[in-house]
Amino acid sequence: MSVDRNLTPAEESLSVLFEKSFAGEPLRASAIEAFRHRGLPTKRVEDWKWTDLRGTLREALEPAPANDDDAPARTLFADLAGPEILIENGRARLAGSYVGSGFSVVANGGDVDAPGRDGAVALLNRAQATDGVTIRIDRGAKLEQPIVVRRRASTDGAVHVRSKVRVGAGAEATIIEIDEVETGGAFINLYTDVEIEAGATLRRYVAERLDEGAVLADILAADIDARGVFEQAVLTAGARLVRRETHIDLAGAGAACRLASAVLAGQKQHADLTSVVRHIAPGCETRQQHRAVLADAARGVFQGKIKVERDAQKTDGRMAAHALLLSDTAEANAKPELEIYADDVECAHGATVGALDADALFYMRSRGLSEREAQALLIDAFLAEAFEMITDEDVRAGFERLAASLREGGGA
Amino acid sequence: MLTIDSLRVSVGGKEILKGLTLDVPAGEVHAVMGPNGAGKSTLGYAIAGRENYEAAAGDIRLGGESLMHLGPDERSAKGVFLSFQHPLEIPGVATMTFLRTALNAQKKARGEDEVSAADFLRIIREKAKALGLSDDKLKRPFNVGFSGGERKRLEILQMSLFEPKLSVLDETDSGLDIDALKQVAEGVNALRAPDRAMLVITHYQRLLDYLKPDAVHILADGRIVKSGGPELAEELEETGYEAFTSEAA
Repeated sequence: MSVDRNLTPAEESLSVLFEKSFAGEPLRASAIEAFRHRGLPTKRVEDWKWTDLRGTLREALEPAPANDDDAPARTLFADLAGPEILIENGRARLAGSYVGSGFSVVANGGDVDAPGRDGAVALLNRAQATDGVTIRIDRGAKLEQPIVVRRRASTDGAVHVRSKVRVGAGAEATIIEIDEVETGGAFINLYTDVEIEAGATLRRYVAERLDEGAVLADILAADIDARGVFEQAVLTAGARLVRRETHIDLAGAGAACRLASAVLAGQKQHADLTSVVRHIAPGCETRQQHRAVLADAARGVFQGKIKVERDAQKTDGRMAAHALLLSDTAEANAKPELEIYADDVECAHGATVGALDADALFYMRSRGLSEREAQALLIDAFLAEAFEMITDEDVRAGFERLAASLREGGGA
Repeated sequence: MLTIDSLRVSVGGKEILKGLTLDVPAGEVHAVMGPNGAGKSTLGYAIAGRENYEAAAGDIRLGGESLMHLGPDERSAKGVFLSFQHPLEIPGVATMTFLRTALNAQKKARGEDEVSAADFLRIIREKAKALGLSDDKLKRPFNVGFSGGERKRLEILQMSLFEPKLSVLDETDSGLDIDALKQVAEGVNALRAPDRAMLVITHYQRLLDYLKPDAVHILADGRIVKSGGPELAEELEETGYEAFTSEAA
């Protein structure tokens, strides 16, 4: 799409390659050219109609500088055992690589060879990525501990991280991604390219602690081969703008994806969960549960699409997206979509927006629970179906605790 | 124990209770009978403190203390219990968790020690057994998959668990077969005590056969139009409500 307009100060600053060395890389140069042509997505772009990135991000941005200070210990999933890979202000803190039993993690310098998706934000990432990690799980390896990828932004400015995950045939691994943004002047642009080989399972869990002024865009694109499984859970409280996009290709027969997402947002926070699952091969399965609890003037966006291609017979797809509005000024936007070209499929989707059940609240209060306690039990119950999809029990407990603290913190 | 004084309550702009006066002394069980639409459930909600059932005039006192400015949870901690006519299900909220949270919330508000998980389990099992509710049911989400009779039993179980000063039973007999009715009545009778009062709201006499009230009041068109002994219930069963409703009009 060609845009006939002036670039904003943010777009101008983002369309100058951050590092001189990037100019010599033709892939980056062409990506920045394409980005400059399009600009940041506006509400006129169909799948950005509820999330105005261009309008939100107007001020000029400097690239976030390298930061070699010691990072404080993480607070999210602090008690979880397993290796932690820290990426600070867009640079992996790895002495070259980390090799564990059955896997390796390498700092990739912003591997831009894979073309990836061609949206404006993805193009920008491809042009500007300073670093990222490439995680390889060996064929058949069953990782006993999760790999924690902790991305921290400690300074104002733009951060572009581009990562790759390769899960070898029959392997099983869990990656926990934690985003921490300390300052409100940060723009975080994440891109992750995933390949899951036949019979392999990858679980990706995403939690965050963001400054309320932060803007974060995250794209994950995954290709799943036969009988492969991708499980994902995301918990977000939103920020000035948070958008997490998931693009799944179920490319081999019998592949499956399970997507869970929960939003607990208050104030004026904005959280957007967008996903497209393409059923390409026959006999694949999708399960998706989205829940949003929105207080104050928060806004929650859900766009979920299941697309069933002609050859994807025996597709089994189910998607449910429910939002709970705790105030008159909160807003939920939902667009669940099924696009089906095969004739022998079972697909269903449902979406609701509602308030807490006044009858249930009165009943619970008449039994002695304070309004707050009653709300808390109802909200936890509302979120439960999403969290139940998390197969790792420690992680599920961690998500439940995190949700409770967001609920208590007045965020929602 | 319970004193209601010239209570006026409007719901959705329509006046339902029109100056209702009622007194239930400690140790007594009183029945309120009345035709559909007389305001029976509104009375229950007004005592329990439901939002949008606030009084425009009058007073509700428990043990001499006005409840008018207290929320439902505060009234509950003071010892008010309403057994709902239609107990709802709360999907996703485990029955045990809910009951223990509720019991401890009441105790905390009264400055009493909370009950440990182990003690609670022992108490609840004992009470459930007496009411013919299985352990299995208590492990489910609240009232989910419960029959109408089981829901009513769970109400009585809560009454027995919370040990309220004032129990208001709203149509507890509706939807119960005769065996369940007996079990529920036994549960209620077991709670009769010199320091407790009960208000039994009902359309029919049959629950009263088992509960033996000390007094019967007829509620029609938002007011108590007649009060008397247990014989009044029998009289009603024969004559119907018509005589009283026309009297009220």
